[in-house]
Amino acid sequence: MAATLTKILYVEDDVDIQSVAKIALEIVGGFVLRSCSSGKEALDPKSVEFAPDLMLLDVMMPEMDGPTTLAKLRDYPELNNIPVIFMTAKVQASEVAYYKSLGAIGVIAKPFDPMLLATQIRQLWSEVQ
Amino acid sequence: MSSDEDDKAKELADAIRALGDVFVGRIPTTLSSMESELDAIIRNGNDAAAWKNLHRHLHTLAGSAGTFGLAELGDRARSLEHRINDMLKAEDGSGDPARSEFMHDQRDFMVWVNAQFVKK
Repeated sequence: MAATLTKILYVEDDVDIQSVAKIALEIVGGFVLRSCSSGKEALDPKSVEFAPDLMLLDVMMPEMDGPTTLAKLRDYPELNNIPVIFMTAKVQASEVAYYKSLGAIGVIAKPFDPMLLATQIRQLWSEVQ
Repeated sequence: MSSDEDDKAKELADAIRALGDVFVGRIPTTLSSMESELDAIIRNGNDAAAWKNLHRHLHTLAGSAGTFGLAELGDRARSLEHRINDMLKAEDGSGDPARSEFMHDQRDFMVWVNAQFVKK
């Protein structure tokens, strides 16, 4: 795990949510993002070249959902140990437990507060340092 | 909050407001798409693709609306999205009355969205 959180691989199919999160994370958080609109796009080798410190994945996406995307991203040795956070509206205890069983360090509930998104991510990141 | 944080907050708020305006501007297109799916479902209640597409429209609407602070729009869309999930799980026919009720409520929702967000 990287010592500092700088680069985030972000996967979200909804263009509106992706735009808001991207602005929030870049402007407020100061992060560098590689944004992808599908699991398939995220699996491009460019994601490996990007060398993310963290992966931020929407759960419910058409064709390839977040957990499936994560499983396939883990096939890249370079991404196998990169921390992951899921974003979803489904945040009942059993659902959060399921996402954590997949290796997520945390879950961010949707809709999220754009002003607080970067702080939420830093908090989850710090908990596993 | 420092001046720099103030500036960032204002920049973010301005950007989100602009994106929100674009989102609201697309609502008529979303309503039209949902109408098409409803028509398909009326023709064939077991049209899986139409149900899936309607679910996707509601899911997207719910997520985006909530992100732009349009809580009632987001909550109402999310509720309908969940009802589709529940109905499609009911494979024993018990979902049929729920489907009729859903169709009625979906129409009401679309009328409400049109009245609230579509400029005349």
